[in-house]
Amino acid sequence: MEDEIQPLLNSASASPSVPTSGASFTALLGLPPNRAVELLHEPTFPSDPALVDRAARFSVFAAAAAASASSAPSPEMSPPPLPEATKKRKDGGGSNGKAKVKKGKHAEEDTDGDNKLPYVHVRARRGQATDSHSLAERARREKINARMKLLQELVPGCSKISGTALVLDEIINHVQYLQRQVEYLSMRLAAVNPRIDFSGLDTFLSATTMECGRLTIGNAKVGTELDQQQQQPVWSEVGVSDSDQMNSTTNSKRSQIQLPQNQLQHFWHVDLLNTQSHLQPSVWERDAVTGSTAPHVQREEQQSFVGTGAVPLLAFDRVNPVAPPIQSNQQLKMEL
Amino acid sequence: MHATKEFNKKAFLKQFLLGLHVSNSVTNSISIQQRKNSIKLSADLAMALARGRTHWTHALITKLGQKEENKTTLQGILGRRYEILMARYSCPLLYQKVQRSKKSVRSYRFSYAANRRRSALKGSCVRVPPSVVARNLEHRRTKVLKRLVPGGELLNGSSLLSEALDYVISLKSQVDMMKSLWRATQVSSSSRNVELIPSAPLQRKEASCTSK
Repeated sequence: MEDEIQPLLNSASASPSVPTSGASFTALLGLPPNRAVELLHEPTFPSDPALVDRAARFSVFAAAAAASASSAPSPEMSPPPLPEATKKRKDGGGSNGKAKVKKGKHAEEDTDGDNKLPYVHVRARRGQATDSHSLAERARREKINARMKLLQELVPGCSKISGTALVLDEIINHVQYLQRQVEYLSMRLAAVNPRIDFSGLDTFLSATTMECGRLTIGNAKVGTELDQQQQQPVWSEVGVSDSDQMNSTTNSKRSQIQLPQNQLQHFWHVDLLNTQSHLQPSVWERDAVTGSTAPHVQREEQQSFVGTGAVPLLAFDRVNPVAPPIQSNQQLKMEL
Repeated sequence: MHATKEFNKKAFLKQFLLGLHVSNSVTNSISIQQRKNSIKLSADLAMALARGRTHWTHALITKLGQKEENKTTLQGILGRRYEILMARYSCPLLYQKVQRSKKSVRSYRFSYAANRRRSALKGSCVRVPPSVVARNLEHRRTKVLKRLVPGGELLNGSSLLSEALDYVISLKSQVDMMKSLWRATQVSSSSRNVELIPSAPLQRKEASCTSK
């Protein structure tokens, strides 16, 4: 490693772009080159602040001077001690001696690391501590604050609160609340069905797929609440729109339902293996007439028979992209 | 990042129902508790699988897989992936350590609160400077958050927050999905009570259509 540093030092001293620094390079550092190399590769920060300053200045000037020649040593530098290290880097032209304003971190000396490593380059503000420690800390804090802001937006009622601990409190409460809700809902779902097979759901869905008016009206109503995203898969929970009769609109949060012109529409297809099984062929025959999903449905039906006899399986289907959704609805309407 | 959640609802539902199907075929459970647990298991698993590959999903799946009663269900649902996932992310020691640390954190919190109360009652000044207090509070909170978020014990600082963010989003969508599913079952039961004789559905439907 020292061999690699030597040309660096030489080039730094010989570079015309930074004459003042070049002349007093090692003098500025106040150390013999060997010691400087040691400093460079020290994984931990030295306790002596004077050393740190000097090393920082060294790194800064070395960066400015030997940008081209240092590509060799930079990848082999010791990895930064902190995973998210910020590095103060001098810009190319700023070779003035205002070390107060610009400083560089020295431990993960990375003179050419701008394009190689994902460092965040921060400029120290006037009057702020330009210690390498504080730089890293400040970058870390900014990152954490950015995440906190996102979390604040997510958790309802958190944007007014200021202060990290209280926001964290709210986040924790919210997570616990959501987890409790999951438990509660699963308990409810368990209580509703005699078995975990959603037979009621099947009945309901078969009923609604056969109901003409509700299907069209549900879809039409839902079409008014378009989201902007075109790539959203259309998930039409027909029953949900059904429950609020004709007037009320579906809950916009739940219903990721939209009906853009050229989008696919996903229908629930129900696979009943109990008394209503004789209805199934009729339903799917009708669908076959519309030309929408007959082949898919047949396959799904066969697949579902694999499971235990009493457990129906809900299967997703996609309407044939050839048939635009509105047409198929109208056809269903006509037939039913 | 947030937009991707919309796509996963379909995947979540698929996984959820598949999981329920498998769990139903695997275990013949009568009690509500068991059913609730299997439902919850399928739901959590579906959420984790639908989300993709993040730290907390792996941790969640591993945690679910470590419990004895879930293993068969998981194997049924995941199939081949089960062995891969378990082999990669099995670190039982870590979770044992987690168990131990939970108790210490809780007791620490209580003792700290008791100390504050005591000093407040006495009327004496707080012996700790406010910056340290703030830092302590934050530290406590992050510990609790680490406990809540699956796999959070291993993370620190900003990565913990980003994982928590992701986890909150997925939890929210999971809750929404389960709510809508439940509402669908409610509607189905109510509509079933109204009509729907299997013998003559067509005429009945047409009649209801025309009447409305």
